[in-house]
Amino acid sequence: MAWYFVYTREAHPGEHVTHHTSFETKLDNARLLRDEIGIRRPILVDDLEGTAHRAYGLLPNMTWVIGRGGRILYRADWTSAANVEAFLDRYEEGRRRRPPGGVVSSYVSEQIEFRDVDREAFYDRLRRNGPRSYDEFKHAERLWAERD
Amino acid sequence: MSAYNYETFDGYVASGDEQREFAAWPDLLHAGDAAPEIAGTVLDGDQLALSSVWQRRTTVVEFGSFT
Repeated sequence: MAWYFVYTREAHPGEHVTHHTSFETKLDNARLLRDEIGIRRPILVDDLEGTAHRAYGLLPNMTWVIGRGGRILYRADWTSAANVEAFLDRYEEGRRRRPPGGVVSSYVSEQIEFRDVDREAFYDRLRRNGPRSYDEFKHAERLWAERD
Repeated sequence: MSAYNYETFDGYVASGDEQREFAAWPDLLHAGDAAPEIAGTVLDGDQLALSSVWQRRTTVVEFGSFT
């Protein structure tokens, strides 16, 4: 099993963690992410134009599992380590299982899941990117409210 | 600079790009489809194509940034 973190555009750029104006900026930010956030998984930096990110739909916190050989096994528009690990356990168990005299067939499912939202912790991360990152998100919340 | 690397988050939301991208995602790739290549740069500067990894092992790929 291999795990990779693909570094994309900055979702909420600010004064400290800026949007990317060059590939060097992006690479520097990715190194800062490793050093300050402590990401242990290998980090792969997408190109400046977001070629890989675009191919997978541009959402900010996705997780995908690619099976040996290159077939997509799992996709989620939000990263939940517990959900990914539970899927991997079920998948590996399903692959190993061979009932006596029977066969195993695969199928595709899709579910809605829930996650806890710690808004204050998220706001702290925005402020870490820079004060304007928080201000812009609060403005975006008002824009979303006007759409509803 | 392309709109991909937007400078302000509220500008990105106001442009409608965020709404369009979230709306398009459900109809994009699905389980069972062939995975598009993910090629990039590792932090020491070397190039890596993840297809070379998932040819040999199941591979978990998380996309993200600081937030």
